[in-house]
Amino acid sequence: MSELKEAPTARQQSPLTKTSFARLRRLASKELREILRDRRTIVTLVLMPILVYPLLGFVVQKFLLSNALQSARPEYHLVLQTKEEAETLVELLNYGDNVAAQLANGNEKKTGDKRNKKSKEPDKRSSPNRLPKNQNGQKTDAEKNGESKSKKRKDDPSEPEIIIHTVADLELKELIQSGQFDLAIKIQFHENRRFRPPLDAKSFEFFYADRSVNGKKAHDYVMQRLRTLQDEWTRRVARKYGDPRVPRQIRLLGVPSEFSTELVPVPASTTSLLTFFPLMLVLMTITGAVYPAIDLTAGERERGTMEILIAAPVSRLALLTAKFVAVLAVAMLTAIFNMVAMVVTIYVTGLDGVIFGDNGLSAGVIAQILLLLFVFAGFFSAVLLGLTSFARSFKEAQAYLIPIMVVALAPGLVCLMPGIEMNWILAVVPLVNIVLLGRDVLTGNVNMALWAVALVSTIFYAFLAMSFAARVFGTDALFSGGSGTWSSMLRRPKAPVARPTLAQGLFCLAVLFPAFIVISGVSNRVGGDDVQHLMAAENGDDKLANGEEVREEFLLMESSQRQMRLRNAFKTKLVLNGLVLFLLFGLVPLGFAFAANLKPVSTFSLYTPKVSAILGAFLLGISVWTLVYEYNIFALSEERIEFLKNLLGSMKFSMSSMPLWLKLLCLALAPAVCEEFFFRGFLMSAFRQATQPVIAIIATAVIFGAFHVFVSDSLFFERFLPSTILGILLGVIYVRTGSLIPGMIMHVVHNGLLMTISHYESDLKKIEWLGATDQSHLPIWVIGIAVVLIAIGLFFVAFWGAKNPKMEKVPDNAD
Amino acid sequence: MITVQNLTKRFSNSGGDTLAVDNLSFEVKPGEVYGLLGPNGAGKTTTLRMILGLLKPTSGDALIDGFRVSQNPDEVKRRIGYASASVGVYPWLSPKEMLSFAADLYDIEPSVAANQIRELARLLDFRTIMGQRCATLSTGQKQRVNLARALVHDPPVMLMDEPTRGLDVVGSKVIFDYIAYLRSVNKAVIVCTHRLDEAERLCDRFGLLHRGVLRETGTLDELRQKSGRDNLTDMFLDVLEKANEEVLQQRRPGSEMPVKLGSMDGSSQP
Repeated sequence: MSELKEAPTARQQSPLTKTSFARLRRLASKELREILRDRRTIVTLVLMPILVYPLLGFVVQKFLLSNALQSARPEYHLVLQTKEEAETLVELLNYGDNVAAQLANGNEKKTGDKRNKKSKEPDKRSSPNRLPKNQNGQKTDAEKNGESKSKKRKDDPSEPEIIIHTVADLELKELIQSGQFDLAIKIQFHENRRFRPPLDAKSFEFFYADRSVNGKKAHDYVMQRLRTLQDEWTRRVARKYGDPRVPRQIRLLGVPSEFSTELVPVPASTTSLLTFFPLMLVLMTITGAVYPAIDLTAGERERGTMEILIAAPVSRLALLTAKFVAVLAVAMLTAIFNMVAMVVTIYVTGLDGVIFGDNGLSAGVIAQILLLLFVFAGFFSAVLLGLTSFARSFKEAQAYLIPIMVVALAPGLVCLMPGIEMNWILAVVPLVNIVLLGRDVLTGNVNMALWAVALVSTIFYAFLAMSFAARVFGTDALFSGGSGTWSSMLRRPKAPVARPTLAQGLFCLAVLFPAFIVISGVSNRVGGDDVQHLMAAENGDDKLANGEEVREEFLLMESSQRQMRLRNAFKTKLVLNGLVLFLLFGLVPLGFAFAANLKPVSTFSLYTPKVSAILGAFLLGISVWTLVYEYNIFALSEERIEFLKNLLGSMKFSMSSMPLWLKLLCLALAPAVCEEFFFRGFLMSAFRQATQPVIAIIATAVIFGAFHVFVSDSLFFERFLPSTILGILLGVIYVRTGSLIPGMIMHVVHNGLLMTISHYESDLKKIEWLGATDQSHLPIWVIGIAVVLIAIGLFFVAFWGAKNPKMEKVPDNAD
Repeated sequence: MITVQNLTKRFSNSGGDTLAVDNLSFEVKPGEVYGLLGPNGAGKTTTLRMILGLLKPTSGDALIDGFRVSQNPDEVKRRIGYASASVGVYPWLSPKEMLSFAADLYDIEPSVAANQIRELARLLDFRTIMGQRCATLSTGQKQRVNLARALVHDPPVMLMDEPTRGLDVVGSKVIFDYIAYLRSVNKAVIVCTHRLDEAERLCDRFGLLHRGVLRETGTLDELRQKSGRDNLTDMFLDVLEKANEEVLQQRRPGSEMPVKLGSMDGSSQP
C-alpha cells in the first residue's frame, strides 16, 4: 500500500469530471421526477393559477364595474380651436336638446296639441349650462374643477357632462393624441356669413382616438343633436314651403349639412395593467421556482441526502446544473400554467380589450413572452440556488428568500411607474429589464438591440449566480458552522481590532441604507413642505401638484417676501442635508467602530498620504468630471433629459440663488467627505479584510453606484454607471495610496467643480468660445486636457503615490 | 488499502481554535475491519470526512488504493463507499430509482448498474419493495436501501459512521451481517462507533480515539496484553482517566493550555 499511484491519464480516465450529457440528463431527470411527485410542487404549479386568476379576474372586473357605476355620469371633454366655434357648438347643442325635448313632449301628447307649435322656437335662454372655456390647453384639470357649474341637468345622472375647451395654438389631432380630450371639432363657417350665428356653420369635422370609447360616445352625443336639429330644420323649411322636396338653395339655409369624422390613430397606451401582465407572470415564475430550489438544496441537507451527493465523484457544478435544469423546468411549467390561466381568465371576464387593446394576443407575442420568461426563469433559478445552497434547512432557506423576494418586487413595481421607458441602462438591470421588455413586447414596440442586451445580460447574471452556487453548495462551512457567527459580531472584543470583518461592514451598510432613506426623507419634508408651497405661490398657483391647497399666508405675501422665505427655506434644507450626511455616514460607522472595538486609524486608513498622492488625486478631481458630463450627454435620451430638466428645473431656479459657499459646503464637501468615510473607510476596509483588492474595489463601487441611484428623490438609473466608475476610481486610489485622504480630496474637488460649474452655468454660457451650452458636448480641447490630466493623475497615484511601507503592514489581529 | 498519514484538523470558530484531529496515522488492509472508537466529539466523523475528501485537512494526508486524497479526490471518492445512520433517502423516489441515481453519481453504465442493483436487493432482501416510494418504507427498510446504495459502485473501501445508531436488535443484526459480508468480499472497512461492545464483535483491529488523539491501536488480543484489561470498555475508561490526568498536569501554573485561544473576532482562519 506504500506505492503511490498517479492519476490516470486523460485517455484512461472515466468521464468523471467531464460529465457526459447523457449522465447529466439522467441526473436532471431524477431531480425533476423527485420534485414533480411532490405534492407541494403541484400546489404552486397547478392549484395556484387555477384558483388565483379567476378570483383576481373577478375582483378586477367588479372593481372596474363599480368604477363605472361611480362615474355613471360620464364626462366628455370637447375641444375646439376658436371661441366662436365653441359658442356656436354650445348654442347648437342647446337647440338640439330643446328640439329633442319638444319632440319627445309632442310624441307624448300624441301631436294633437297644436299649442306646441309656438314653443318649438328654440329658446336660447333656457339652457345657460354649457359655457365654452378659454384656456391654453395645459390646465385641463384645474379648469375642470372650476367648471362644475356647467354640468348639464344635475338632476339627471344619466345625462353626460359636456365640457368644452378651446385651444388655439395646437393641431386638433395632436390634442386628441395628447389624450386630454375625447373629441375635437372643427367648424367651418359660410364665407359670406349671411346667416345669424349659430346657423352659419357650414361643415363639421370630428376627430377622436381610434380606440377611445369616450371619444366615440361624445361624437355620437354631438352628432345626435346636430342631426335632430338638421331634421327639424328640414321639416320646418318643408312645412313653410309646402313641399317636402325642398329646393337645393333653401336647404342650404344655414343648416350644418356636412359632417366628416376622422379617427385619430393613437398608439396603445402603456397602461399599468399592461405592465401588470408580465409582472404577474414574473412573480408567479419566481414563486414556482422557490419551492424546488429550496427542496433540491437545503432539502438535501435536511433529509441527510447531501452526504450521498458530496461523497460521490461528481463536480458540484454538474450536480447544480442538474438541479438548475429541474428548477428551471418547474419554473417554466409554472409560467406556462399561469399564462394559460391568466389569458383564459382575461378573455372570460372580458378584460382583454382593457389589457391587450384591439390587437389582442398573437402567437408571436406569446412566444416572445415565453422566451423572455425562460431567460428570466433561468436567471432567477440560478439566484435561488445560490441563496438556498447556503441554508442548512428549509426554515433557514425561507428566511433568506423572503427578504429577497420582497427586494425583487421593488424593481418590478418601479416598472409600473408611468414614464419609465426601456433604455440601455435599464436593459442591464435584472428583473427591470425583463418586465419592461415584456411590456414592450405586449405593446408591440420592441427595440431589438435592447432585447439582445437584456437577454445577454440576464444570461450573464445567471452564469454568475450558478458559479457562485457551485462554490457554496455543500461546502464544509455548512458542516462546521462557518468561520464566524452572528453572536461574535455583536460581542465587543476586549482587545482592539485593526479592521472590521465583512459581516460588520455589511451590517453597517444594512443599517445605513434604510436609515438614510428614511431620515433624509423626513428632513426633506421638514424643509421641503415650505419650499413646495412657496414655489407654487410664486408661480401663481393656488394648488400643489398633488392637489393640496397652497397655504394662504404664502399667497398673500409680497413676491420679494416670498423669495426671501424661499431662500431661507432652501438654506435650511441644504444645512439639514449636510447634517444628515454627517450624522449617518460619519457617526454610524464611527459608532460601529467603537462597538466592535476597531482601531480608528487602521480601520479608516487615516494615514498621512504622500504629497504625490494628494497631487494625483487633485488632478483626477479636476479632470474626471468632464467624462461624467460627456457620459450624461451620451447616455441620456432627449426625452429623459427633458424629463429630468423639468423635474430639476424648478429646483435649479432656487438653487442658483443660494450662495456658492453654502452649496459647496453642503452639497460638495459634506457628501464627499462623509461618503468616503463610510464607503472607502469602513465598507471597503471590511471587504479588503475578506477578499482580494480587485473584488473589494468592484463590490464597494457597485454598492456606491446603487446608493446614488436610490438616494435621489426619484430614481435616476442613469447615475448608476458613472457613480460606479467613480467608485472604482476612488477604490483604486484608496488601495494604491493606502490612505483615505487622497480619495476624499478627489471626491471633494470633483463635486465642488461640478457644483461651481452649474452655479456659474449662465455666466459660462455667455463665453462663446467655451461652447458650453446646456446639452452640447464639451469642446474637444477641454476633453483632451482632461484626459491628459487623468493620465498624469493616475500615474501619480499609482506609482509615486503608492503607500509607504509603514502602512503596508496592517496587522490582521489584535496586537 | 487505506493509509492515513499524520492527519490533523484544526477548526477555528468564535471561541478560538479547536484541534479536532491531532496527527492521526493508521492503515487498513483489504478484508480488514478497523474500528475507530471513541466517545462523542472524539474526532471520528472528522477523520472520515477528511479521508473522503469532504474536509480539507490542516496537515497530513490519506491514501486510498494508492491515490492521495489531496491530489486525486475524485479517484478516491470512486473507491469509497460511505454509509451512516444519518444518511437519508429521497422520499419521492423508489429504492430502484434512488439506487440508479447513486449509480449515475458514480457514472456506472446503466445496464451494469441494473445488474448490481438487482444483486444488492437480493443480498439485502428488499426486492419486494423496489417500486415503492421511499417515504412509505420502514426504518429498517430505509437502512437496507442505504446500505445497498453505498455498495452500488462496488468500492474496495467502505467507511461506516455510527452505522447502528438508532437501530433495534434486528437492525443491528443487519449491520453485523453486512460487515461480515464486506469482510468476506475483501473490502477494507473503517467503522466509527461509540458502541464498544458492538465493536468488539465486529472489528478485527481497533483505534481508541480521544480528543483527536489516537491513544491505543491494535487487535483485541494486542490491546488485552498491553492494558491487562479484558474488554474494550474497561480499556477505554483507563484511557479517559489517563487523559484527564494529563490535562490536569498541563493546567498547573506555568504550563500552557493544550488548545491555544485564537483571535476574538472569529474571522481569521489558521
